[in-house]
Amino acid sequence: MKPETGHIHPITRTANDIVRVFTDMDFEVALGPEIEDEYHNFDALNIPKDHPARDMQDTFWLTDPGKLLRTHTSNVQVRYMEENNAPFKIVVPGKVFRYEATDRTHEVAFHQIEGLVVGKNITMGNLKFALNSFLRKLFGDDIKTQFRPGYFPFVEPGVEIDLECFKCKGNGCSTCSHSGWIEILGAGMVHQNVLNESGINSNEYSGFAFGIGVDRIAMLKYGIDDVRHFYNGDLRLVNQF
Amino acid sequence: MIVSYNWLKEYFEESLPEAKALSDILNTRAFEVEGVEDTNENSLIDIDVLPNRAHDCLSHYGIAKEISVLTGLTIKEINPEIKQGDVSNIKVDIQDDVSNICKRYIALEINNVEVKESVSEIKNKLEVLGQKSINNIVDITNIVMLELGQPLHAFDADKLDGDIIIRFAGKGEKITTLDNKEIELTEEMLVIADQKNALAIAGVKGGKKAEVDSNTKNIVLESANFDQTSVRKTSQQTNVKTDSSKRFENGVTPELAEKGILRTAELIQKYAGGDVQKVVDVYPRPVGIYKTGVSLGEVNSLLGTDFSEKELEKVLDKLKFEYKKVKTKDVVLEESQKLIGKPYIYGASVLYDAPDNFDCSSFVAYVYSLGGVSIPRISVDQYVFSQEIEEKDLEPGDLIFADRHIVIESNQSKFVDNPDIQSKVSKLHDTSKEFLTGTKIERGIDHVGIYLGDGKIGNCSGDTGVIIEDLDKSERFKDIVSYRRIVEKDEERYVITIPDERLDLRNSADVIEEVGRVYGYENIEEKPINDMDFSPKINKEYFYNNLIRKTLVEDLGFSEIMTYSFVEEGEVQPVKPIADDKKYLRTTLITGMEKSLELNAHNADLLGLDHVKVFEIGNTYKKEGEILVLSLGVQNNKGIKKPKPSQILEEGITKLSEVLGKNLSEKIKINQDSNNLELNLSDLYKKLGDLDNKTEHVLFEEPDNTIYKPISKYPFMTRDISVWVQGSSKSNENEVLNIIQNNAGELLVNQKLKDVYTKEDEDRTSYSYGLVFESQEKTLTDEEVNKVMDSISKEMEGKGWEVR
Repeated sequence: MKPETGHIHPITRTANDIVRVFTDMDFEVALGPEIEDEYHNFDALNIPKDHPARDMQDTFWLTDPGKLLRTHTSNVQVRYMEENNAPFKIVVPGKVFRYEATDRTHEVAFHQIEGLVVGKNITMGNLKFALNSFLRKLFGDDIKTQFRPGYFPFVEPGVEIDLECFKCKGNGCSTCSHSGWIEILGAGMVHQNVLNESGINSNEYSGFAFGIGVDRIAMLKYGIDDVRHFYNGDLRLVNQF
Repeated sequence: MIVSYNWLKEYFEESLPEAKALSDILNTRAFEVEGVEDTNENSLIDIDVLPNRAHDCLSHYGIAKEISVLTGLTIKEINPEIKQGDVSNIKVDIQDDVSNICKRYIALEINNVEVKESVSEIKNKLEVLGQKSINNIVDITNIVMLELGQPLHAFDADKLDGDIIIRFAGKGEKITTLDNKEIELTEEMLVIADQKNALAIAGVKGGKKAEVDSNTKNIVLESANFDQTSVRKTSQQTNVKTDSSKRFENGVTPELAEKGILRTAELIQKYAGGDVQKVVDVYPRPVGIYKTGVSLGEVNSLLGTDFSEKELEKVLDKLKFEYKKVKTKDVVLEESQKLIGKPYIYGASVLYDAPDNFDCSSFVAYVYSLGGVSIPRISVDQYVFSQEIEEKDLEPGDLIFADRHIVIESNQSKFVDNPDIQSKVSKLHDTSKEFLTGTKIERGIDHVGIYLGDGKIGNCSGDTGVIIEDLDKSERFKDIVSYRRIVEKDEERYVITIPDERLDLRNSADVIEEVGRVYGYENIEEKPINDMDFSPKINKEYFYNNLIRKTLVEDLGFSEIMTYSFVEEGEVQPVKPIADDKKYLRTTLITGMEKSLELNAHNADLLGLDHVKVFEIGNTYKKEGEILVLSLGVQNNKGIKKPKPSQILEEGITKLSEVLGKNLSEKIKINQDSNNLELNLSDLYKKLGDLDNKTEHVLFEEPDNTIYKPISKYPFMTRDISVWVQGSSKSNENEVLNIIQNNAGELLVNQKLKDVYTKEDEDRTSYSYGLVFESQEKTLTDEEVNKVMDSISKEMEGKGWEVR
């Protein structure tokens, strides 16, 4: 007799939903280490030692010198570029860590999905297409997005992508802090220094990268009120999915 | 950074858009705006100025400039006017070993000032931004920093013992800062000192010794520039973070110091009077004008736009860039001629030494920068950056790389004939250093020049300085290694003169970002990626993780959990733990599993589970590295005996073995009392075969439309009810359930049919339900639940059923 079916964790489900959109667009899944060295987490991503950009991510440094818990899955960008030649399209799900106080919307460990596309003549127009397609698949065809300037050291130009609040349709409500928009993605064209550092000639290739917080998407999609519920092994949450 | 709307208004004749509209403009075109707070007749705009724009926008005037670009409104110039004296009493000595850290030091003595409380206008300006008013002198230095982004400091001139010296701190040297903290300095930290003591931690914090107080009559103003890395390190090591250190650590142009001191002096004369002496300006290596450029093709190919020249020029105009369209190679030829005779310095910098001194590669980099191309500074990097061409295709403006077989000794180059040394030396120049770092080139090079046509080569060497000579007669080009090209013959580029404060604009991509954001990213059309020669491989770990999940969830009824990575005991440790009981990273998933089983067994009735069955896939962290682990755990609800947890675990392992095609039971010992187990997936996956590219990822069904119901903070309650219903068929089940649900309403969170049996001879059927009650708002009392149970019973009895 087959027992009653169990339940998949909403983080896994959301991550899989996101990854699937990209694998359907012929992206390859790449994974990498959570314990990382300073070079792959920072230096190679155009975040040099003693640069104020390091302050943008509160880091868990380990007692082993030069080692840390990765602050983003972008470390896998670097590792993939070291091992593979362009062109390619990858999507990188994984757990990341930030040294910060926990509250309803912040956890010290959470999940992120990052993507990287490198090829000849990759443009910002391609970035817009890929990410709008992704958001349409995840949230429906009638969504509205807004691309505005953002800064992440490993991309240039950098953009932040907002989604028109699906609860209030842009009128302003508690979900969108009354702005009508929800910040959903960070992205940009891969910085020349990042390509060159990983051995890809920026005179020949260009690319785009993006990052998305899985926990945040799951919270938005399902209306989950506290990020900490994800990580205490509580089936009162999981068994709803 | 908090910006005062009223303050911004001072820089415009015309009226600014309302604060909210202004913040929308900034938000969509420049910076993220965190919020706008309307206060008494003013608005405070919280602007997220990140490191890319911290050079020029951590100030009201910087933001105003940005507003001027985005709105087209004309910004007022700040041109301080002061009556300067002819003499200066103060002397400034930047010691030689710190001249690369203290890039500029301007001191200005002002005599006979009147130190007093600031006028309300100044006080108010500071106070709305949360800054404390101290006295008119200190307040003005703060005002100018908030206006221009140039940190300033004022010393009491009469408290100084002799001249101002900028030097490294001595070993164990201490300073008492303005807020009366004693700080011990290290020898890497820079201080501003007089003959006897440190007066300030350079760029970070002023000291008590020369504090301006109510008795101060004469002051020395400082407007200086310090290296960003040095300030950052000092600020971190001393744990002193100030408005000044924040600006310096992000990098500020030394050019700003002059405007800063003049503006401060102007305001001090206005508000505190005094006689201004002559400015003392020590500026060891003034920065030059920085030029870079971009071509129309580069803009369109990165943004995916379809700009015409005219459209691009419109955006460049909007950005208020000083620019010129040129044919790069024409500029290169013309500018090379102008530099003939300029002397050689080994390691000359384009920014600081050009156009007065060069080495071979800085000469090339400089003339190309005038032509609008930013190329690497080092010759071997220039080689890697450029495209190889054949000798017969050589055109004016192309580069020729040669091996002179020189060695560098004590900054002197000399010719070496010995082939042994030659081969060794060449090796030093055959690997790129800053562009595509580590790229090997076929043969080492140590010299580069620009072909100028008609057999002439322009180059700069230690023997000659910049010269133009016959290529075939040149001593330096006897051994040519490669002919290479930077741009095509007729390529046109926009050469842009970068404003001093825009330290973020150094190459074409930097400029393209400016173009893109000001043009508006919403105006860029989305386009699919063209066909790419790439076939994605299946990721083994991702595939098997999902296969295991799917099997456990769908075939075996396990639910997935995630538990904390940080625990009390372990092997890998963060330097700063988040809590005392979370000092380590986990070495096992079992700790989290046990907690989860306990929690969920407690809630088993609420969850409607006889067996709590959970799993986790996650990393454990050992000294030797990360290990991916699967944990399984089972706990029976109270009263449930069979099957035993160990038996459920065994079935699980059997099924997983079957699905993975690998016998797992030999690895795992499950005894009678086991209720959990762990499996090393990292090891397991190594042993599983590679997947061919046709294998689909095992992914879950398309998402359902689940809307999460919050977990109640309050305890649940259970009740059982059994009832005899007429009839021997089980067709009354729905009716029974309906009565229960209708009477219990929202408080009923779970119901489970525990038992049904029919007594054929009595023509009646018994239903037994386990009910779970819970409220989102409060702890339910027995009374409340009994009331519900009573009304259920009552309705059932009304139907003639027998509630037992």
